[in-house]
Formats: sequence, C-alpha cells, structure tokens
Amino acid sequence: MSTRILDVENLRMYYKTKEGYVKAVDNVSFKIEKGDFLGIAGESASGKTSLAMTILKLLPPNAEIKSGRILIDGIDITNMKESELRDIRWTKISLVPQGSMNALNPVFTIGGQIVEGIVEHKIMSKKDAWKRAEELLELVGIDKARVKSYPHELSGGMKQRVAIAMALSNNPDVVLLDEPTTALDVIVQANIMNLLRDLQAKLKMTMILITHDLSIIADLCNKVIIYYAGKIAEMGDSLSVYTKPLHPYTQGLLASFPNIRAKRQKLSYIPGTPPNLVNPPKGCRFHPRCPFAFERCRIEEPQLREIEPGHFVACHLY
Amino acid sequence: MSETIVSCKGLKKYFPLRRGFLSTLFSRENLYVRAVDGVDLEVRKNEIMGLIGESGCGKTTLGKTIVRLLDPTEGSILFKGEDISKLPQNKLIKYRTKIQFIFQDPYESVNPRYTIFDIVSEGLRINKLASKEDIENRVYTALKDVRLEPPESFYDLYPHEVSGGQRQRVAIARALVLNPEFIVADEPVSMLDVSIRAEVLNVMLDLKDKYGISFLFISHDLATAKHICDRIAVMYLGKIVEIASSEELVDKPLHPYTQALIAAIPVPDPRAPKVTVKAKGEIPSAINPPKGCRFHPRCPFAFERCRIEEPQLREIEPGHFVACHLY
Repeated sequence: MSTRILDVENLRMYYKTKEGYVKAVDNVSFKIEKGDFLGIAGESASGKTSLAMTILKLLPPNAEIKSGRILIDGIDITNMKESELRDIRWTKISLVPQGSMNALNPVFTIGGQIVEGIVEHKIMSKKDAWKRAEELLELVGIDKARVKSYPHELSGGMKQRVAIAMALSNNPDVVLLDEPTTALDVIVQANIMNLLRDLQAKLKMTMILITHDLSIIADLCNKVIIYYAGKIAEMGDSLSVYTKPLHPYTQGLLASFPNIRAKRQKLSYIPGTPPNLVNPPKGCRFHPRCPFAFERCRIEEPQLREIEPGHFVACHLY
Repeated sequence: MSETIVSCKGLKKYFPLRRGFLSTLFSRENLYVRAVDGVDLEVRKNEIMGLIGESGCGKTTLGKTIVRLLDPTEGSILFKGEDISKLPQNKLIKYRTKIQFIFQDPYESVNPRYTIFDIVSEGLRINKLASKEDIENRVYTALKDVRLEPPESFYDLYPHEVSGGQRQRVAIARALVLNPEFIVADEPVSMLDVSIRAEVLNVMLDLKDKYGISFLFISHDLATAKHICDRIAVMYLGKIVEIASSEELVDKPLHPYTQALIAAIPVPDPRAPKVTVKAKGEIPSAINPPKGCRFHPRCPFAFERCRIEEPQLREIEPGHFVACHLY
C-alpha cells in the first residue's frame, strides 16, 4: 500500500556484554501507515527504548543488528552509512528522547537551539531559521516572544514543548516520542497529551509513543504494541486490544493498572519479575509468570499471528 | 468514630533560603520555602490515609515532619494524645519504634552491604528489644507477613539479589519488625513497574487488617490511592485543600484543584473520555505563595474574594472537608 510509512521486518538487535548477548529486540516485525498514532507499551527493561533507537539507528557501539530490515517511507535504512542517515533523521523521522526537556543546553536560548537543528539539516538562512523557530514555538503553544528565553526561564512543561518543537522543525513524516510525559505532573502531562493530539490532527503526522503507561496510550493512540522481554506480545487497534486483550500478559497488565473511574477494588498483579534478556526463558518468554502456561509454552516459542483482522497475538492459547 | 492515632494541628515547616553573605547583612526579611504551611490532619486507627499532591506541594516534608525526621517550625503533632512535636531526641526514642517510615526508593533506602536478615533485624538490635532467639522469630514473622516466602531463604541474600518489589517489601519488613502502630509510606511503589505494584500495596492492606496498623500513604497517583486508601487528603502548595473518603473524593470532588487533577488523569480504556485540562499553568513557588487562596491564579472559578481571603478547611458534607470559597 502506498500509505505505508514505516516497515520493520524480523528485526533483531542485541547488545554485546560480558555476560553474553542482551536480546533487547528479538525478531520484531510491524508496519504503520501514514497518520497512525502508535503506542508501544512495555515495562522497564523490556527493550522498548532499544526498539526505538534501533529504528533510528542511534545505537551504542556494542549494539549489533543481527537481522531484519527497517524501511522508512520505502527507503531501506538498515545498512545505510551514517552520512546518509543524517539526511533521514529529522527530515523523515525524528525523535523526542526520554528526558530531553532536561537536555536543553542551559547557556543557549531555546530559539538558538532550535535554529541550530534547522540549519544543520536544511539550506536556510539564519534569519529564516529564526522565523521558523518562532513558528514552531507557536505551534507547540509557546508565545513566540519566548524565543530568546533560556531553558531555566521555562517550566518543565514548556521545556517539554520546546523538545517537541525541535523534533518537528524539519517537518518529519514520523515522530518518535520516548516517555514524553514521565517526569511531569499529571495536569502538565494532560497539557502535553492534548498538544500531541492536536499536532497529530493538524499536521497529519505519524507518531510513535513509547511509554510504560497504558492509560496514556489508551487516551491518545489508535494502535498499540504490547512489548514484553524484547518481543511483541500483542498488537492491534487500541480498541480491540484494550477491550479484548488476548495475551495473558496484556490481561495481567491491564488488570494491575489502577483505573480512577472504576469501583474501588483490590488491585491485582503479575507474579514474578520480567526476565533477564541475556538468558530469557525458553519457549514463551512470559510462561514463568503466566497463569495459563502449559507444556507447549515451555518448549515452543509462540509466533505473532493474526487472530482477528488487525489483531495479532503471540500466544499458544489461540 | 474510630479513635485518632496521629493528628497534627497548625503544622508548619519552613526551610530558610540560603543566601549570600551580603544579602543577609542588608536585606530586611528572611525568605523561607513554606513547604508545609499550617496543616491540620488526623489519621485514625486502622486506616490508610492518602496524601496526594503534585511534586513540590510539600507532601513528603509533611510526612517527614509528622514522624519527626524533620523538626516542625510551628504547630503540634499528637501521637495517641501526646504532643511529640517538641520532644527532644532522647525522649523521642520510645516513639521511634511505634512510628515508622518507608522511603520511596528501595534501591537507596536499604544498606547494600547488609544481608536482608541484618537489615530487618537492625532496629531490634539497636533498640535492644529482643533476645537473639527472639530476633530470629520476629524477623521470620516479619518476612512472612510481607510475603517473602519462605522467609529463611531470604536471610542471607543481599539487596541486589532480589527484585525491586521484593526490596521494597524488605523495607516494609524492617519497619514492621518493631511492631509499629503508624507507618508513613512515601511513594512506596512509584519506582516499581505497574505489574508488580499491587503486590506491595496488598501487603500494606494485609498489615492494616492483621495488625490494625495505620498508614499515611503519600503519593502523586490518585488512581492508585483511590483503590487502597480509606480516606484521601489533597495537598496544594503546603496546604490541605480537600479531605474525604477515597470514593467520595474521586467521584464527587469539590475543590477545583481536585477536579482538575481528576480530569487530567488518563484512563486505561480507549472508550473513556479524553483527558482535559482544567487548571492554568503550573504550580507556583512555595517561597512566595499567592495571596488569598493559593490556587486562585490557576483556578477557573476564582473571584474577588479568592484573591484576598485565604479559605479555611470546612466540613461541607459529613466527613467531606474542603478549603474553597465556592462552598
């Protein structure tokens, strides 16, 4: 289809460590269409940030892409040279890294930092770039007069908006946001969520949101990937995944998530802890924690299969 | 009504601002961070009281002041009717076992060079509360109560050998072994993954039921608090703005700040209404809090009186207290 914007096929990315390979991304395939808002949910150390960094090929030296392909707008970037990648990043796909609001340079104005990103990637005069920086600030809901402000003059929520503005500066097709609201208070978080919702509608952009918070994904995203131990456990339209979760992990995760609108109840939890990705369990990686595990789960690794149209799950129960 | 175990009245904790030598010499007044600024709160026997607020609202300072980890600037703290707010440290010792504190980060609050047995038994040894044999029994029971089973298999482990959730339960066992009557738990699950949080929270509920321990549960997470607390107090810039039973507070919030908090909390259901923002801006500094009602610059309903007169916490419906001029 022509609206395909990102295509990830059989992707494997391992980190080489003294203890062995950390299998942070292990045979992951998914596709997204233009205009999708995809949420990737996973617990800490599940490998969700590694997945994002692999898609952007922003990897540390000990990371090795073992197999698979990454296609952005039809362009295969898997084996691209760093110099070519620079043209792809920011113009085709950009990133709002985790904690980026605290990574702004304290001795430069926010306008200066936005301009730096623009002129690095586009042939544009400094003057036009400053104008563009003002536009971007307005776009994310900051008064353009603040273009000469320093980061310490802004609140946490505003700094996060600046980080988002920077990612938008070269009109990328896809924006990847890694835990964009994690350090923020709930009212500020709601502000940023509404900003993302508006931007996505206004700019018809494709967004990928990585978070541990299932409720943020439910609020914003039309598609969701449930990521567990370096693999996709379940994937599909938000509505069907949240209302009819198939994977026992998704079911357990949703049951342990406190819902403020629900009746008061004893919360449930998933016993055990997520596995070490150097030596993940054989068979299904979730089987030691799964209430429904049977013999086959211990031996054979389940493949991601389409159970209902658009709803994929990797579980032997289906 | 059940009896009160801990209460504070007019409790204040100010932190002086450190300034340069010259400005101290020449300026007229000292500046303070008014972290806790006149709080009345009571925790009843056998209840989990939630204390909810955004970062910087003073909730942790309030918790630490109530257990006298910080000395109050003003006001009283009654523990079972006795004022402990001005007791010197040597007299305070006999209360230390009865009042315990659980810290947010289980990775930092337990000594990494101690075994779990040593961590849990340390309070007993320091306070000379038990014989050697007795110590082992009590550590065994405490670990069992926090569902670290079988207890003896954890004795010789070091903190890094257990998971985050287990580590936090070790911290609870350390508090529990002294037979406390009141525990302040400061964000005890915020460092843990959602899927294992309830394991720790359910331990707190067990302890409440089994031993009648009262808790002050400090958190920024109203959704979790609704499910585990009996009552909830909402704190904003050093003041309590609303207190009610947890269901009533969430289902019928009165204070515009509480309403804004609830409207901003996303729900893990795509069919639910989307988050809305009902308060402008962000929390102001506690050095110069706004005059009148501290929430008025952000409040959508603020009127003249809110800018001038500070609202007092009043009981609007039975058991439902709010500090707002709208009522």
